[in-house]
Amino acid sequence: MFTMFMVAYALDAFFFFLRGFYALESVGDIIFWKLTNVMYPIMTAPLAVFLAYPYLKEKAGTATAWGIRLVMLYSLVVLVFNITLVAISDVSWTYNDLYGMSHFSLESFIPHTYYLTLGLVISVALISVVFLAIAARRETDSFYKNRALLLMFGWLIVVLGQMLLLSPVLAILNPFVIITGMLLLVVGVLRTKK
Amino acid sequence: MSQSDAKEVFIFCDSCKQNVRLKLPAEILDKRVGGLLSVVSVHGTPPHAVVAYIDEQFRVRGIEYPQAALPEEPQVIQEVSEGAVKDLEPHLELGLTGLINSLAEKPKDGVKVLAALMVRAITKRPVFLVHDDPSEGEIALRAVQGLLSDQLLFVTVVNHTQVRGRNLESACVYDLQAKRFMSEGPKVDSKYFEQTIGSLVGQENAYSRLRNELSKIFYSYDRAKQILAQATATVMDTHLASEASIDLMLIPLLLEMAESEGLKLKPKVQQDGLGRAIRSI
Repeated sequence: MFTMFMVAYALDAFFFFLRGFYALESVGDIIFWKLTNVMYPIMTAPLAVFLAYPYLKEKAGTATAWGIRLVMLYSLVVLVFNITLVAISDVSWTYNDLYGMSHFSLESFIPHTYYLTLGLVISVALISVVFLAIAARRETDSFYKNRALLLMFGWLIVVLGQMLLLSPVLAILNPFVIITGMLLLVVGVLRTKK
Repeated sequence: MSQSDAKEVFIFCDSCKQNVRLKLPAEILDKRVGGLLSVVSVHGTPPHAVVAYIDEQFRVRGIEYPQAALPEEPQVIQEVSEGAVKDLEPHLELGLTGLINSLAEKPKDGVKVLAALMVRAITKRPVFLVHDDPSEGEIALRAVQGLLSDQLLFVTVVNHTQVRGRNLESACVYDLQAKRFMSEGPKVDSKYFEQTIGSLVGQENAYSRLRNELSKIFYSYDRAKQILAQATATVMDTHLASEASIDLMLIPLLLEMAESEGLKLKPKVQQDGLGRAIRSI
């Protein structure tokens, strides 16, 4: 599951990269924008399930286990719902940012489609943040405690960075915030115990 | 010297049958003469000494037992000039490689067999080695028993006549002549031991190093028992592994060892799901 998350993250970055080969608001640009939006739930849901499942096994037989099952089900429902909605929705242009990238929105029979898909993805991402916070709080080994904290803050910063894209003014900060979050995630994963 | 710069090395003292922990500052390697660092540990009651020869990766390459120890200041680690390394392997009829080859045709299978036998012996499940030639069987038995120190009662050599017609389901019975299990008994997880033995095969002093690794497990088992005896609430397995200085995947083995001694420690240990997820990343 964690490997799936990492691969999805890498693919998402790759699709962003490929957008650069197409003219603004061209068909290719729009297709890859849609693909990046498809990747958001594919990234966030596996990470949430990866963290939820062992916690579910730990809490088996308790009332908390039912809550965790609901959370896992919610993540998977958001995954399917978001991919479907992104696939069937129309795309409308919103603005071009200072870096020369186009930003779009989704439109469908559901009001505020784009904000809905983003909100659902953010809620699933925050589930992972909660699990990482629980892990960090009760971890007694300092190495793994730091790893949990790095992953938690890194992921939180990445989520915040994506939300900045909703504002044409704040979008300029997006690359800096995303890279900061990514660096924390990378350090958290790659650090080795001596 | 800060705590974080110190390296911990465990040596097994044959005199007191205990694991001895040596805390060595990382810079001590700079003071060695020749390839190995010799370290004396004076411990126990009455005080006695053991000399360990340690390489640059802080692995124990040899052990010596001075005939007398007259410490002025007990429990002080001193450096001595390098003496001859006592190579333990030639004194055994079977080293680790010999033992593995005697258990199976292929070394890889021999590693699996030895791992399975060790886990069962450690958890005090009876292990029977079957060989019609008592002397051949005794050689393998001594090699296995030497690894497991005081697990003498649970590994025995029998011949085929003694096992014929018996219900072997609950016991681990290995035919040394046919090189196959006659009965494996209840399933146990021996993956850790397969990895450990596999990594030591072909290395110098592999037998001693494996024995050292096993003695660490017994030390950690004693530590785990102490921790759980004092615990007033359930203890996370990740925390227990950290406090007992043992790999997390060996916690189930420690709990099995306790079960075999009649100690109900499993209810006191809670699986840390999120901790395992963080460790698996």
